[in-house]
Amino acid sequence: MANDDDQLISIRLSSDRLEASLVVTPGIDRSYVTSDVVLAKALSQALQPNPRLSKQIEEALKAFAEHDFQGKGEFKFVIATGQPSEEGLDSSFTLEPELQQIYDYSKNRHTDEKDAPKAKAEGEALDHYNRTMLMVVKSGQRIGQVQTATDGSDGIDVCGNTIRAKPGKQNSIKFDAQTIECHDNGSVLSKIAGQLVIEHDGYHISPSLTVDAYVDYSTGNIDFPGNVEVRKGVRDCFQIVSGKSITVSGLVEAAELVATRDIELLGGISGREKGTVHAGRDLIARYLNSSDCRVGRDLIVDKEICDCRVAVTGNVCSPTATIIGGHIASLGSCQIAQIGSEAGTHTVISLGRADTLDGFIGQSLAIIKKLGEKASKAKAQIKELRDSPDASSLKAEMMTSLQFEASEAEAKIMPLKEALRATMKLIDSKCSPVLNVQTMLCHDTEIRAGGFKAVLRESIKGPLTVRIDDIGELVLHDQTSGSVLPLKNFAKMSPDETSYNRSDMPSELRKSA
Amino acid sequence: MKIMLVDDSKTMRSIQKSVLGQLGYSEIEEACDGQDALSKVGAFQPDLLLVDWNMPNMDGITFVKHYRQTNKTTPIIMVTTESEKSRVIEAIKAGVNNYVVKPFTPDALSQRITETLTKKAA
Repeated sequence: MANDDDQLISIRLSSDRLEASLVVTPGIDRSYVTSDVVLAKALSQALQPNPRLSKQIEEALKAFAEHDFQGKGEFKFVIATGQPSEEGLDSSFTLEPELQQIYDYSKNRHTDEKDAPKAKAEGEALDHYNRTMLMVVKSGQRIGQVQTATDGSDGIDVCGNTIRAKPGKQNSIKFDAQTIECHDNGSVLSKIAGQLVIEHDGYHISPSLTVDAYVDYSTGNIDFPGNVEVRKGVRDCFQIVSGKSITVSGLVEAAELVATRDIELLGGISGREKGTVHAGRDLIARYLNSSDCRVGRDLIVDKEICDCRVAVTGNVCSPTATIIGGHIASLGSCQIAQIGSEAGTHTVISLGRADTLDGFIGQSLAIIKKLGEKASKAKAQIKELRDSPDASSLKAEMMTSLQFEASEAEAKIMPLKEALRATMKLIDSKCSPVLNVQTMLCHDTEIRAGGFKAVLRESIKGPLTVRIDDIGELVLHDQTSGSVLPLKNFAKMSPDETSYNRSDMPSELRKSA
Repeated sequence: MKIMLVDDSKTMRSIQKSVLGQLGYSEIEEACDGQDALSKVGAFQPDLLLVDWNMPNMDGITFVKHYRQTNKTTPIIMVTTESEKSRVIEAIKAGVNNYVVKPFTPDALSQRITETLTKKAA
């Protein structure tokens, strides 16, 4: 009978040997199931004897005592458990969340819009112009974290055998050493400003950005620290800001382009009175149409400048271009094929003037005047108070307050005067009010120079030069005949009221003005 | 005679309009780009079109190609700064009848219009 009972009790191990259970089948003599029998069975299965095993056997026997074979069938109770191994992690690189969001969006943009950046608040409109596809980073910016591969931790089965952990794979993550630096703590930083590019599991930072198609909703606005090259055009209302230069091969529509250095518009701009181009250095364009342009150095246009407002701090070097309509202000010399149209189009050329600098001078003079008046008023009040016989503490306080007011106003004037002096120096060094026209200076062209305004009554054939002579008069030099005649012979003259009032200039700056 | 001016520059359109006015043409419709022109040609039914090359949305050459798919006869004069020979050939191939390079004189434009209309009448 005991032999039969012995067949009905067993210790069952799970396939991974992480669990051992006492199993008793119906029909056994209950008195046969004792702790000694169960322990013997466990040891026969190579389970390690320990207090925990003994305790679990006691628990099992208690449960067995209450077990109803008829209702529940076979009795099963876990008496030992092992410790599973923890597998090692493969090495990996995690991008910073804001870069990861852009990467996911750009990767899925054609198929899945769910990753698109969402509006910050409910009901708030999403700015499609600012949905960038570019992972633009600054120099020294943290771009992510490298997780090195881990060995994992070994486990142990119910028999006390070690379960070896599988170590993580050491994946090769390639970072371009020229542009990206990896610290010992796994932190990955950019060495240069530019666009983070992920290619063939390798990471590098490109100092320049090339957009193969249009700058439109697919790219969003671009704000990039390096050179930007656009292979097609720039759509309405989009913006490109570059810390270096911008080159656009196609047509620029009513967009905004700002570059610290040069801007090259190979396809021209048709700005529909909304386009703006601000170049810190040269602006080179096929043509400019209905746009507002500010040029820090030279303007070089191949074909046409039509209906534009342009301020050039250097020279206009466009001997093949025609200017029709609009206003060109050039601090340096101006070389053009034709100005105006024979059909009569009012076109304004300001020579020896850069509107942006003039604007600054005008505003600065107004502020200096206002501050000067404030200081004088305060000083007059101080004098008045000093002259009065009354010697109250209130009077002393008022005088102190007025003294502070006067010195504060005077302190503000100083840096403004310094900036004005620097501006005047720049104007002095660059100012060259000379206009060279190759083919035709058409009637209704308005030339502003030397404080005069001359509106041409008739068209004059080139090549010709308009300049200010030694006595400050505007003259026209016909390069074919060699004759030099006063411009008033061909134009209606009047004072140029748009020029800033030089009598407002502080005396120490008047000389250079 | 109904004439359509297709140019993104308002100034350029007003110059052309003034030249056409001097020539006695007063029935003039304006379009600011190729797309705008395509939407207006059906209703206006011009007898002559003056088309610029470089324009946003739809440039002049694309407009001419589209227009020529349905209208083979109405003369088109391309008025543009594009003076390179290859560009002129490209325009003629697309269906342009005559070509005026900017800057143009009123006489030059008038001559080209007369030339084009005479050729068409013949």
